[in-house]
Amino acid sequence: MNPESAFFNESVRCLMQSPLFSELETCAIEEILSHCRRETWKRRRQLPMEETWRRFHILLSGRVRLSRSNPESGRMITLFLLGPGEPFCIFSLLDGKPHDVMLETLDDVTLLSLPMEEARQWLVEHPEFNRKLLPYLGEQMCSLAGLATDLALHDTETRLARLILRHVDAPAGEQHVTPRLINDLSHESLAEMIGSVRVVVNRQLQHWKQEGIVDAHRGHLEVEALQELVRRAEELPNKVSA
Amino acid sequence: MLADAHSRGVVDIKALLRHSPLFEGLDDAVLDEMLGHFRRETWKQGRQVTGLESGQRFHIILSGRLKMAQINPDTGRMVTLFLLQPGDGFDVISLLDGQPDPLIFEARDDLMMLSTPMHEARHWIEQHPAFNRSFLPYLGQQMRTLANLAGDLALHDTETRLARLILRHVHHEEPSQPLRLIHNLSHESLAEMIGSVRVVVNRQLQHWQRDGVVVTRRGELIIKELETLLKKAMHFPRHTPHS
Repeated sequence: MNPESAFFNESVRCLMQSPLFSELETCAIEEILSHCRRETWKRRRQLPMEETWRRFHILLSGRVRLSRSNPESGRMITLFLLGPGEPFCIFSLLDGKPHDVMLETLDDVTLLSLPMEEARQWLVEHPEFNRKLLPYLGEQMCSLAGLATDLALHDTETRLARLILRHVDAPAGEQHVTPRLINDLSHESLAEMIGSVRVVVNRQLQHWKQEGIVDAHRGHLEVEALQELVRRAEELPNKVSA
Repeated sequence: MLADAHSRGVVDIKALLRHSPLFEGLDDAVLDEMLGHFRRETWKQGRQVTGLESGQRFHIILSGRLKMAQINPDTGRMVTLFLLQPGDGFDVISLLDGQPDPLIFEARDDLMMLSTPMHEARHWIEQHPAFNRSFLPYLGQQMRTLANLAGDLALHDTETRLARLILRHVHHEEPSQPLRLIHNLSHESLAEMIGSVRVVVNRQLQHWQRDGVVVTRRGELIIKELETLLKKAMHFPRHTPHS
């Protein structure tokens, strides 16, 4: 992207707000931006990773999900739901191979993209980025490990409760919270995040609604009784900041 | 090569680390300097340690296998997230400052390891950006393992998951060789690697034996019909055990 471009300063501001890039010197951010081009993708666009893995992307606005599917049953599992400031595909950045996932935009998104090789070179030249990248990778690994564990060991109610709690940052004692990133997803999309199906998630949310644990209306999800939801998640430790 | 060193009963630590995906490509001097921070540690086969106890130290496995698992305390059921082998480090998630749910580590064999305080390992990584060359691809591979596990659990039935587990550890050129890493594991251990239970895995393997797909010889699972197994594994990418 040309520094003269109207979007350049806006992109700098965006990256400065991303937890991954926030502590970098402005010149390091400007340098990576000079390798980037700005793209906009329409909502509900689906791309197999074979088409995208040679470029590294950083989301500026909107959400993207990375999923796998079983072509015979048509079932789908979302491995990552990414929001503004987050990069993809981190797998290809790390080991230079394509990752077997389908990419789908959930909103109209704007993003930055640059050739994977240039992103990797930038990484080598900016080891200070490690301080943010490594903990971010730690979080992503936790989230995958959590998903695998939940799928193997817990029932749908517990998995749904844990999914919601992973998207809640609430101060202690707060009962009423809006989950970030997932609060306006369809029941089908929520089901795909926990390896279940729409009707089951729908029934569970109705049930919780009657119990006063959540409020779900017109595609909007609110937690009404956080403590009770934590109990349903079987005391998922450390995930609700105390 | 790691297994050879192990079977001779001697472990040339530097030779071993040079073949480890985590440390290959590090200079001799850097490797020496790094080893100065570590001390030797041994665990007997069957020893279980929780993440809270071990989370303070970073370990590198020199010989033996280690199971890294999570448990549902209510049901006692376990799922194996990683089966680690010589050259692997653990636990990488805590090293990265992630906060996983409590993990359980179990020695599948007698283990010889090196260990160092977690904060020292983190500090060392900060001081040695060249380590990224092998560390980042290693992390990519670990994440792929987790993604495969989660994907299989959500999308496939037990038969398919078991077939995929076996195919990830088969020597594709010589399928009749004992499996890599998961050879001689009990049916219970195999079940924990695919989120199932012993009886189900047992029944499935018997079924495949009757059909001539696999045979069991002295506790080792031997593949007879790789093609059939590939079919059962559904759209399994050939020859790419880590993708």
